[in-house]
Amino acid sequence: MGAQQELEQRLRIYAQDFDHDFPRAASLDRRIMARVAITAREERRALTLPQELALAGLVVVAVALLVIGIARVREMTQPVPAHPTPSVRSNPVPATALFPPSFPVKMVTPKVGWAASVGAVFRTTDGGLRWESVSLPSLPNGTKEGSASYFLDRSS
Amino acid sequence: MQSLGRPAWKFAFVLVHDIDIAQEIVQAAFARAWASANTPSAEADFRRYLYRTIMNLVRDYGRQRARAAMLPATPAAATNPLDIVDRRAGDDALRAALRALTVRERQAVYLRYFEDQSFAETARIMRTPQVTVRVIVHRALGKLRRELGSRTVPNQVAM
Repeated sequence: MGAQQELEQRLRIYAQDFDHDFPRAASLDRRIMARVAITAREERRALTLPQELALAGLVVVAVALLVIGIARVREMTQPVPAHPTPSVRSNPVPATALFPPSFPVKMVTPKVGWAASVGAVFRTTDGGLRWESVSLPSLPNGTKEGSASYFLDRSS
Repeated sequence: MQSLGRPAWKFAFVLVHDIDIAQEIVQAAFARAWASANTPSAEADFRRYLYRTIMNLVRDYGRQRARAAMLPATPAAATNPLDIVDRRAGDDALRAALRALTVRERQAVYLRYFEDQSFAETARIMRTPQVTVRVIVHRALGKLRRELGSRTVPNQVAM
């Protein structure tokens, strides 16, 4: 038997002797009952009015944050059309040209796009909601007409 | 209460080495358990709660004693109640070695070897990770071995 097991065995024997010699608990039980009898029992504490108000406020704030968060997420995840179709607004739009749907359109970014017609070029910066007429420099032969349109980037 | 009073008393006694103080602590622990609205009702949970309360009360008692020790010394009692009870159990050397352990080590050793609790249950009662309890017990056994090894042969024969 190792030293560890020997010591543990010795401890257990000591514990048995200790238990055997320790006084019975009859008097202790009576004393405990007497002590308990004169001890007031604590009631489960209900929330006070300020605590209830604070809790209600927290709930309102949490709900508001949740609603705002959901709205933000929905706004961010709303799909942007890859090739938005230009539309014509019924209300007069200042500095905005009406845009016939047959014009060729090139969207260089989801927001910025160009369109060309005979003698005019249009530019949008809001995904096709508004189109502005962009003045063209005169072509070498003195005309502003062009038969084909190419758009390079956001600015040209 | 009938089944827990005596084990709780023994537990408190091992920690404070004074049978009257131990009894007082156990009474206070039961009173606290009775008074508290958070006392668990299941027996195993209640036992752990009661033992933890005893440990807290023993710690408070230790602090009071430490404060009292700073006051002018009072004459010691003629007979220490510990001598009446504790010496009945044989193995004087082991008794003395146990008293040399820290309170935390005595808690672990008592629960493990006097009450034969598992390490898991001892850890739950002491609110300590099981691995920590194993370390405490291991360290305590090492101390006991060293303490017993340094004692004279006649003391060891007393077991």
